[in-house]
Amino acid sequence: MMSVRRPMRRALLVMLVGLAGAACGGAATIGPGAPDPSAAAEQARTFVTYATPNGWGNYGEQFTTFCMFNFGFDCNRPERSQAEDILSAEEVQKFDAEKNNPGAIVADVGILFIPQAEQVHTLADFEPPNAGLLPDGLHGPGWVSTFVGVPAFLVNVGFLESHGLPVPRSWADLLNPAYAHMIGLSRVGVSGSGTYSFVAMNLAAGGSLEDWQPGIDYARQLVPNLTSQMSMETFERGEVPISVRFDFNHGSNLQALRERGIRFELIVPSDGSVYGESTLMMNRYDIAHQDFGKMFMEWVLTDEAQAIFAKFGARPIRSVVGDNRLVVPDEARANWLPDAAYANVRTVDYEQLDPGDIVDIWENQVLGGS
Amino acid sequence: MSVLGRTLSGWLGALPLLVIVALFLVAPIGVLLARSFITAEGLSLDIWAGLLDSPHTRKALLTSVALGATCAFFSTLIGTPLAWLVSRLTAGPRAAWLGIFNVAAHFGGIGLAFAYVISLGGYGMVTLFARSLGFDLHPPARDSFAALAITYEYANIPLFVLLALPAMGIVRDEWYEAAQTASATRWQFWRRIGLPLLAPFILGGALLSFTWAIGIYGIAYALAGSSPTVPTRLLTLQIGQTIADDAVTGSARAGALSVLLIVLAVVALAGYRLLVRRGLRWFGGHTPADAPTRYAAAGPAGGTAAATSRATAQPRTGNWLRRGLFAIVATLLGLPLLALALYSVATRWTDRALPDGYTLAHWLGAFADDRALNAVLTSLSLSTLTTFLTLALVVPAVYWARTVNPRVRAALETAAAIPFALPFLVIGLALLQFSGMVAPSLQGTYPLLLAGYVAVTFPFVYWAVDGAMAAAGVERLSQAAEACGASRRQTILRVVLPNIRTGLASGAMLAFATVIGEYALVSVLASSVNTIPVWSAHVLLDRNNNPGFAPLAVVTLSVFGLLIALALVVSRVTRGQVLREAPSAGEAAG
Repeated sequence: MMSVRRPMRRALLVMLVGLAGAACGGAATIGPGAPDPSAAAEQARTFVTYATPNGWGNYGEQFTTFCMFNFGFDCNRPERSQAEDILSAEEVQKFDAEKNNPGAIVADVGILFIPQAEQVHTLADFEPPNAGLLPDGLHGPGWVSTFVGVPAFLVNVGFLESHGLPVPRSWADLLNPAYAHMIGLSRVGVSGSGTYSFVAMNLAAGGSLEDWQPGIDYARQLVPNLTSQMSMETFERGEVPISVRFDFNHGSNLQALRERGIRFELIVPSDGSVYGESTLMMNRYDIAHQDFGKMFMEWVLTDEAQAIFAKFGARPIRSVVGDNRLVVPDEARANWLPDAAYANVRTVDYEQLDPGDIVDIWENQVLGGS
Repeated sequence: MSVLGRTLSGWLGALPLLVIVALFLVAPIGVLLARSFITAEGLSLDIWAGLLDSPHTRKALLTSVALGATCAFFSTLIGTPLAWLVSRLTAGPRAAWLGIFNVAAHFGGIGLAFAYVISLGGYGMVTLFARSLGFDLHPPARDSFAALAITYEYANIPLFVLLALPAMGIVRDEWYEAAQTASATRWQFWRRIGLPLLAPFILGGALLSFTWAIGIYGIAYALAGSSPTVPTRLLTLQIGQTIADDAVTGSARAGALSVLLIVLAVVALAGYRLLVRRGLRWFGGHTPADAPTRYAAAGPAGGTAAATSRATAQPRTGNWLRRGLFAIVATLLGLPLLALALYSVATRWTDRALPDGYTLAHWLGAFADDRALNAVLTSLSLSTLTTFLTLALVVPAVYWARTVNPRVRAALETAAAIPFALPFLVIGLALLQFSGMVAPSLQGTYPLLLAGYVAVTFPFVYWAVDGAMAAAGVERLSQAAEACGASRRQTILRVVLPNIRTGLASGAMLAFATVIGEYALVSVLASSVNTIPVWSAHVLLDRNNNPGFAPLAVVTLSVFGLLIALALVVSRVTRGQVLREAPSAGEAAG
């Protein structure tokens, strides 16, 4: 049913986009030309980014290092990072909604949402020269993959043990009714981690990208255990002792937890998980910061930048794909789980996954059926 | 003078307000309605069919109605006796209670949701305290139906009381005395006389409670918005999420969902008008929409104060009963405040009954945080500007309506019904779509937000100022002033304004309080404008680098304190008379 409707929806969209394009015709957007470094240095004083707080993907260090290296000053102002906690789908919507008053030059977004951004035409027409380091499908005009995340469990072991509960090691373990309202998950089909988690559940339950029924059956049983993804404070107190997130998601938080003496464990589910690519996308409308944005798009694929992602706990994209893989230095791997934990982790073809369809499935078949 | 010139001068004073209202309220809502029937193929019911086809939407509709009905039921059950008791208090305590309800009614949104989390949440103050006493208390999860209903009621019951209060004045004490003389019991009096008289107003209040509850967005978003399972699916949540999530078809789908809310609200409001008309038929001798209507509506200056001061002396209900009820209400209202206060001075609060330790650092440091300070300054400037702009637009308009051209009044009354009945979320979406059509460069900006706030707060200021002008008798005042040779400007500045300062003060308070706590409109229209509610929602829902709840507690309490202080100032100006001009019977019936 959905597959019939989708082409129609797409056709309609193309029409609408065309109309919109015709209507605002002259609006200037970012083209493919090379950046001007001296203009970029000026722009480094005022640029804004979305969904890239200092503690996420190590973007704080990323901007500091980039600007020190290129311009000789630290451009990571506190106001640099805006809309820190918005979800991938919301970012695309924000770029689109703000096209007349662009709020940010780049944003970190899950790769699943790139097709939406392409549909509504919010990506710049620029691709950095070093994007060729990545295989096709992992970069395009206005976006490059940066690092990968794997849906995993962050478990407050101390809390579970003190309540006589086992530590979950697999998706199947999460169905234990004793975990009622204890498992935090982000919104499926809207956030990158929530969506990839559902994909991983479906595959672990025996489904495929064409067959969602096993995932639907599994998720219906899981629903009573789920609750909102909350802050580290709620995790720490045991309010939400199990948090399903990307493995790297915890980098900066883990250190804080360790310092407070909280016993926790980061677990990649033994019945399998998936690699989800994070990307950096560039807003086609923020002309005022285009030179800075272009240089930074190029920067995130350099060896230095990829090692900075690694330090935060994420596997940089160039270390997991491509012919000539990047070897990440040992000291940058300190926050990583051992490679053995990733034995059952698969890559999936994001082009086969439409978050809009996944929202439909989640809302109407998983939740609607309950 | 030409016909055009005469028409123009008949509308002149009201023109600025009417233009703003037309541009930022009437036109956007009209376009929103129209667009739910227009697809790429032309006029069609496709959007509607698609919506009602989705089990998710059907469930959201049902849940919204159920939540609205639950809130209306409890508001009525608790609010009616409360309103009656408050109406029979002596002037001093009554003013105090009204002030409390007034502030409570406006202390909604994100701050209130936060208060729920830290009082009744899984690790809230009440929960932890009960556990430390050995009761294994399991309050409803924050995204559950019960949690939302409880939180809504904190704003809803005070609103109901404020709204029902004027109507309580219509039951005269002489009637009770007469009934007693005829040896009726108290029960018989209420059953045969009191309740039948009040019933239309009480039911009307219940309908309004319902309308408010189905339109609430901020609280629902803060409590349940990030839930992956959305156990409490609501229309407002779905509208907000569709707008925020779906760049592709979101706006159109959210528009159609909004029309569902509009239909619900309009039906409820129509029912309300019908009921109030019925209720007023007993007071028919004069024009039905006038005597008790005005009487009920002229809050600050006339009606209520007069109505209730008459009833002061004899407490009708048992003293202990009354005191007990008030004590319970005060405790319930006080608990979240206590939790806020404790959180704001806690070093850390793990799982004991009280915080692990105490510190003043959050109070000293809260405003050193750039974002928090920025939010506070933005909200203060936005609220203040809105208040002054709205007053500046409304006062001449109402003056014109009363002294120059009565038709202005009809236009204003009609427009005022829009923000009164429709959720701000829907108005925000309508403005978003409309500004996208006519002035895209305004989208997401502070000026657009400001204009939106002026448009949605104008009815509250309008009712307050109108009530004050009625009580002051501005028609006669201005005739007298003109007879003495005063110009119109002199009349307004020297004669009218000083005589309506109670209305100005309470209208200003209402506008200010509405804007400072408002989340729905800003989140839809200009989420990059960092107001206090936007910042609070961010802190409350942040999944990663959480700055902790303490700064949020400090800011929330500060806003609360500011509202209390304002209420005090206003009550000083109005000399202890009723603060709030509830948009009550009169307006709806008129």
